[in-house]
Amino acid sequence: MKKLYLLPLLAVFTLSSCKQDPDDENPNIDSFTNGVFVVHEGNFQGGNASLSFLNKYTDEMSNSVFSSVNSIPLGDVAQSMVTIGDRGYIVVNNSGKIEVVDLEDLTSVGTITGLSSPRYICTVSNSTAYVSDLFSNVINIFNPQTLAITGTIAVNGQVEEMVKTSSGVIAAGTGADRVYKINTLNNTLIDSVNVGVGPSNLVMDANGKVWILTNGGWGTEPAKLVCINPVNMNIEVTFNFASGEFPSSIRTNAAGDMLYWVNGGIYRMDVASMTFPSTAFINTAAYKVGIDPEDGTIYVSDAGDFNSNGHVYRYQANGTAIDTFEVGVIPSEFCFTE
Amino acid sequence: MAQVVDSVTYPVVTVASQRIAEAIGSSVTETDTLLYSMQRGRGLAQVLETESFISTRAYSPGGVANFSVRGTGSQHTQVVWEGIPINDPMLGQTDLSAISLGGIGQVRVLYGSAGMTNNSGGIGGTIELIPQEKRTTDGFDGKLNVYAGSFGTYGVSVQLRDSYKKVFGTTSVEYQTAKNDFTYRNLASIKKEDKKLEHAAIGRIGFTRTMGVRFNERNSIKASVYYAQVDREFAPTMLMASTNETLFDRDIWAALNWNRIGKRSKVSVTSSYIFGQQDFFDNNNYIFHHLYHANKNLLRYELRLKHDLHLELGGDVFNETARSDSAYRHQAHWRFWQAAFASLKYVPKKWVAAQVLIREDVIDGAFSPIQGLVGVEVKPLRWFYLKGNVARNFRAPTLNDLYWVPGGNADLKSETGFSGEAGLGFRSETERFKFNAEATYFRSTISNWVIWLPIGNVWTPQNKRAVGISGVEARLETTARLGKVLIRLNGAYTWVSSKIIEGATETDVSVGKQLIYVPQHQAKANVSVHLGKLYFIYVHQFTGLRFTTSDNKDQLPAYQVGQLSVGYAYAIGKHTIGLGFTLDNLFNTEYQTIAWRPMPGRSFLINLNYQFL
Repeated sequence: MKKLYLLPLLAVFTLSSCKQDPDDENPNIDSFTNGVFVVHEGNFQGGNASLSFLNKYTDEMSNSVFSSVNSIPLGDVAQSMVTIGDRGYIVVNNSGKIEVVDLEDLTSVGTITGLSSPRYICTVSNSTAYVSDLFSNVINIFNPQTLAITGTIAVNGQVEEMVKTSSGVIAAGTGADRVYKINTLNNTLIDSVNVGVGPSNLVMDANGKVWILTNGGWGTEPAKLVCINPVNMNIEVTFNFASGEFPSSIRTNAAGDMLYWVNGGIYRMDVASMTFPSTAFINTAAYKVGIDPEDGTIYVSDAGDFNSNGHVYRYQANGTAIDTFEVGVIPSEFCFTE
Repeated sequence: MAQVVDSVTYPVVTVASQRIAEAIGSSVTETDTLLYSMQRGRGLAQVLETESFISTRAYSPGGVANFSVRGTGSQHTQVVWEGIPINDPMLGQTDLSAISLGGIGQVRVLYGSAGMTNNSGGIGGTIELIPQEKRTTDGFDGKLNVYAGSFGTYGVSVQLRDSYKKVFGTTSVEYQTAKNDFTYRNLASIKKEDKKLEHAAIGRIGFTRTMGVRFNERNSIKASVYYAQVDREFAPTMLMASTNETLFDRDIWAALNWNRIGKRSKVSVTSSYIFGQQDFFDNNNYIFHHLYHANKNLLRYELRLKHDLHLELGGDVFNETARSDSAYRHQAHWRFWQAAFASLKYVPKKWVAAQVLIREDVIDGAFSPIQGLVGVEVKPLRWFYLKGNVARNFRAPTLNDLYWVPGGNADLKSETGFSGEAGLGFRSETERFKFNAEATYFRSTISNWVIWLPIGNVWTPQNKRAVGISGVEARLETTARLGKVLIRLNGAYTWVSSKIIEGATETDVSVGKQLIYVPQHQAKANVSVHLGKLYFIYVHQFTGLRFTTSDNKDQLPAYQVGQLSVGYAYAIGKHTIGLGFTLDNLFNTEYQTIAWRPMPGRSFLINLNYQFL
C-alpha cells in the first residue's frame, strides 16, 4: 500500500501485523541457488515483510527463510530483490535499507542503510548498481561488493523500476512523468521522454525496446503501455487501457518475445504481433507476476485480503495451472536464482 | 445503569441532564470521579482503557489511538459531545488521542445500541463526552492542575465555573506536552539492544467555554465552544528507518442549545457547527490536507402521555462537507443527512420498564435500513434486576468509502447490525457497605461489512464480509467504610468472540477467525484506600493476546500493567491543595498495543492541584 493512503485509511492502517519471534521452522535448505525467492511486502508499518524460497528440485516452499536463518525480522515492506553474483539484495522500502545475503546459506552479509525509501535495484556491473527511491529525489549508486554508497544521480521525484540496455539505464520517473536515460559510464542523466502520467513498471524485450506501464496518475488520464527505443528515446507504440484500469508488474519471458502484466488477471502480448489483448490470458486473483527465465513458468502472487498469508500460483508457459503454495503476508515480487 | 436500576422515577423533565438517555435494558459505564481526575491528563484512550470494557491501541503514548467496543472497530462507535455525534465523516471514527479532556467532566460509554435514543451508527456503542457540570448556586469556583512526569511530560489545566443569577458558565484551558523519548528494548535487532524512541513528541492545546442563561424555571439557553489542536510526531516502528512524519489535528465544535421544560413535556433544540482539520506531513515534507465541516441540528421532544407512558420524538438534520487534496483530488463532497425517531417508554410498576424505539435515517435521499430497539428491565427484588434488549442498527459508509480517488465506491451499502443482550445484576447498599455486580451476555451480527480490497489494481471498499460477535461483560463495584477508612474495590472482565462469518472471497482464510486487535480476554481492577486526606490507589489491567493478521497466524502476546498512586489533599476553608504521585507500568512490563510499536516502561507523574470553591 502506498504511503499516499496513510491518513484516510487509518482504519485500514490498523491492519498491521507482526510475528514477534522469527519463525521457528528451520528451512533446512542446502542452498538457495536454483530456486525462486518470493518477496513479501507485509503490511505497511506492520514489520511483517518476509522472504520465502521455493526449491525447484523438490517443489518445496519454505517461508520466512530470512528470519529463520538470521534470527531477526526482515523489516517493513520488502519491495524487491535481485541477485548479483553469489549474493542476494533485498530492498526493504520502509526500513530504508537493503539486506544483503549469501545465496549459499542466506546468512546476512551486511546491510546498506541510510536510504530514504528504496524501491528497485538495477545492476550495472559487478561493482556498480543503482537503487531507485520514492522520496529522496536521487537514484543512489552503490557498490554491491563493498556495500558502500558511492554516489547519487539527481532526479525529479519518485523513481520506480529501471532496466539496463545497451545504450544506458532506462528508469521510470514516476514523480516527473518522464522516463529517464542514464549514461552508465559517468552516472549522469542524458535524456528523458514524456510517455504519459505515472510511468512505473518497465521491461526490455528481445529487440532491445523498452516497454513501460504508466498508472495514468490513478485517474488523471488512461493508463498506458508504451514502447520506446532506448537509443533515441522515441516513442514507438502506445496502447491506452480502459478508464478505471491500472495495470502493473510488466515482465517478459527469457526470450523476450512475450510481455506479461497484471490487470486483474494475467495478460500477455506477443512483441512481434503487438496485438493488444482484450481478455486475460490467465483469469486469477493476482498482485504481481514473475516469469521463470529457465522454462517460462508463470508465477503469480495473490495477496488475498492483504492481511493474511497469501498464495503463489504456478502455471506452465501455456497457461495450464501447475500448483499452489501458501506463503507469507502480501507476496509480491519473484527473484529467480540460477 | 438503566432507569429501573437507579430509580423508577422518570428521567424526563430535569434541567441539569446533559446526558443522552440510554435505551432501557442496555449497559452503561461511567467514569469514576477520582480515577478520571487521575487519568484525564493521559488522554481519553487511557481513561477508557482503565474504566470501561473498551480495548484501545495507540501508535505511541498520545499517538493516534483506535479502539474496539464489543468486538467492533473504531468506526462502529459514535463519539458524542453535547448530544452531537462528532465522528470524522471522512474516516467515520474519532481518534481518541485528538480529544482534549480539559472541559470534559465525565465520560460515559453506552454499549451496543444503547445510544440509539440519540444517534445511529453506534453498532458497537456510543462514547459520550459530558462537559463539566455547571454551578447550581451563585458564585465562582475553579481548579488548577499542574503536572510533570517522565519522558518530558508537562501539563497544566484550569477549570473555572461561574454563576450569577440567571447566567452561568464554565471555562477550561488545557496545555500538555510530552517528548515520549523513552528507552525500549529493540526486539527487531539481533542483540535486542536498548534504543530510545525518536520522533514521538506530542503537544496539545484545548479550550472550552460554555455560557448559558436560565430565563425562568422553564426556559434556558446555552452556547458551548470546544477547541483543540494536537501536534504529533509519528514515531517509527522498531523496523522502520527514522521518519519525519507529523500530523496536525484541529477540531472546533460549537453548539447552541435551547431547552424548554413543561409540566409534562420537554423540548430541546440544538444547532451546532463541527470543524475538523488534519494536515499530514510526510517524509518528503509534502502536506496532505483534509478538511471537513458540518452543520448538525437536533430536535428532541419528550412528553409524558400518562403517568406510566412516556413518548420521545427526535429529528436530526445534518449537512456534512469534506475536502481533501489527496483523497478527493481537491474536490469537495457533501452529504445531507436527515433522521427521525420515536420512542415509547412504559413503566407500569416501579419494578418493570419497557421501551420500543423506531428510527429511520435518510442520507442524500436514500433511506437507511429501518432501525429499532425493544428493551425490558425487571427488578423483582430490591437487590436483584434483569434486563435485556434486541436492536437493529446500521452504519453508513464514510465519505472516504464513497469518494476516494481512485477506488471510492458510490454504490457501497450501509453495514447493518442485529444485536441482542441480556443481563442480570445485584445491588446492595447500607450505610457502610455498597455492592454492585452485573453481568451481561451480548450477541450481534454485522452484515455488509466494508473491507477495502483491490479490484484489478485499485483499492476499493466492498460489502464483502459479515462478522458475528458474542461476549460477556461482568463487573463488580464495592465500597466499604471502616471507621475513618474508606475502601473501594472495582473489577471488570470481558470476553469477546468477534469472528468473520462470511468471507470476502470463496477462499477467504479469515472465515472463523477473530478480528485483528480485538482481545478475547480483558480484565481490569482497581482498589483504593482513603484515610482521611490521604489516598492510595492501585489499578491493574490485563489484556489478552491479540491477533495481528486476519488468518490469526500472527499475534501479540497478552500483557499486564499496574499503576500505583498516592495522594494527599489539604483543605483550608474554601481552598484545597492536593499533591499526587503516580507510578505507571509499575512492574516495568514490556508490551505493545500495536505490533512493533513499543510502549513505555516504568514511569512517574507528579501532579499538584489547587481548588477553590
